[in-house]
Amino acid sequence: MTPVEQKLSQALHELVPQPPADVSIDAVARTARRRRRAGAAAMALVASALIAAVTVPSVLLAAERTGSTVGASSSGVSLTQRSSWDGVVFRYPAGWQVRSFPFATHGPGRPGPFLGNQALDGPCWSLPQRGCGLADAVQGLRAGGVIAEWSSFTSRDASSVLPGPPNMTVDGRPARVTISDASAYCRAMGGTITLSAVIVGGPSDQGYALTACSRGPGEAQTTATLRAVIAAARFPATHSDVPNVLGLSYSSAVKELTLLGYAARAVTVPGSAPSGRVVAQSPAAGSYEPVGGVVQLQVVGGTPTEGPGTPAAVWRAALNLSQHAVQPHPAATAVWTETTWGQWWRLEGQPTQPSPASAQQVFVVELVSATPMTCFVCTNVGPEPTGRYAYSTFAVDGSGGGGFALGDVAYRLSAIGTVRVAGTGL
Amino acid sequence: MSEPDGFRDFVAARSRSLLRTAWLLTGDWPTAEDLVQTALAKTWLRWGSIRRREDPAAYVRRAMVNTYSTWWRRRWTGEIPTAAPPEGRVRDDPFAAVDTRGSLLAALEQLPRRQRAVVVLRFYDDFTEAQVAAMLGCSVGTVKSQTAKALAKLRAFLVDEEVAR
Repeated sequence: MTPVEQKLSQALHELVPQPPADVSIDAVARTARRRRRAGAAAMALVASALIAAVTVPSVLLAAERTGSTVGASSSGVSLTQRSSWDGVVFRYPAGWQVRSFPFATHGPGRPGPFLGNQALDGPCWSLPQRGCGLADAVQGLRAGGVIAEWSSFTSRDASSVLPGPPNMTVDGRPARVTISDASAYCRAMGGTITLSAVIVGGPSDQGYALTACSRGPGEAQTTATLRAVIAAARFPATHSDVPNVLGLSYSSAVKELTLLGYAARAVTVPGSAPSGRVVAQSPAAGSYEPVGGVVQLQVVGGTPTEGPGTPAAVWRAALNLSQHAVQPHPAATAVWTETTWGQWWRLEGQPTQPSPASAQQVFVVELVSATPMTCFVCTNVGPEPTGRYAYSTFAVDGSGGGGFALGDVAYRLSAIGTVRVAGTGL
Repeated sequence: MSEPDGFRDFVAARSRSLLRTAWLLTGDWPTAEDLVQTALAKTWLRWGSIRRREDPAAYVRRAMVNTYSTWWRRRWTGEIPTAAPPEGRVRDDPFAAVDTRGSLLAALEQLPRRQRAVVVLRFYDDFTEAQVAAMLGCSVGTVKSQTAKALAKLRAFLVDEEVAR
């Protein structure tokens, strides 16, 4: 080895910290089982596609990227896909409702609202411990009723024979996606699949699927299929115009940006404008950028302290009430990742700064959700307002993690801080 | 699906070593754990034939590197607004060691995935060029060229470290 290579080798060996824990053999087993099930799902989809093609000739099995309306027009539903993928709209006649299953079990990482034209007062709305899926909804239908499920999927779910979005790959190969979960539930309940559509083509790692199922066996009546579905549902746009946040305070700018799906990153600069004001942004206002991108902000002087969501003082007060002494740690920028685990989302953080030996470092996370969330393995601090915010603390000593059971969630990590544990509450 | 014979012992013996390599590839423990788990899950499904045919450790490491090279980006890529921008390094800074680690990790993150894998396998795991070529499914010449390119990009870090000392 050359001296440079030796130096690099030594630096790499010094760089790696101790692993927090051994790999869990149970976790490996679960991953292996999921991979095996994914293979089996491919076979299930072939079967469901055949059934649908035979019984409902007018149904389009897979949305084509034509930019035109797809679906069974005679049934009253139209699935409109535009070539740009922006603002794909499912339009339905009035009278149908969308209801989501908070504990839906129909697939990992798939928020799946169900659409129905009947009131569904079955056990699904009372949150059974086992969760519920499309089968429960089909069971709750009156004869002749139809219910539809739409779900989103990502490359993690890609496992079948329908083509996925053009830039979605799995192990280096073009992704294939499946909607076999809903189809399988429908068949299992003796129902008939009346519509299966996969909407793909977006630039993101995401697609959408719609599956409709009618109660009872037999050929589907095309004219009865999805005759009255729901009101319009707009899917999130993947691009939008970057807003103009010049002149706003840092917190207002971040709030505006995050509302449109952008993340903000700020640097402080000297200037004559009032402290805390945004004086420059990149990309510029009006740019047509992918949602989820980062907008760089230059903020005059001072320190931009307040992010979006609930003010820090509120959760700090809640922490104090629960015997936790708050010690904000502005330098503790965390690296966050998420892991899909069944219908669980596990958030894990790793501090980029070393923790003081005398203190356990705890992050405070605020998740903004459209539906109620329940925190299981983490410690709630303060009251949990209905369906809007959930607060959680969890240790990030390398092994900590927080779990949130999510239904239909527009999740956003929007507040973060660190506290020093004063008691034994955690 | 029952656990294959000998798999648990293999995981217990090798997982820490695999985790360290995965950490160098990914830069954080959760992703590293996911990477190792994915590689081990692939190994689990073919454990019988792998044990008969080749060294399981080499298979897992190859699966890990290949998975890493082709892994679709994480869906959640949001960033947290920081209260304060990162500060530059200061001489005699007591946190210099931490900064050094951060600098090297940042330098590694600038490398394309294949070059990063070559660097980790060559200079952390101490595999030969031929072994790395076999793992990555490329020629020894490619490993050499990728190594040279990676070192050229890391040279700025290495020189910077020398100056700082």
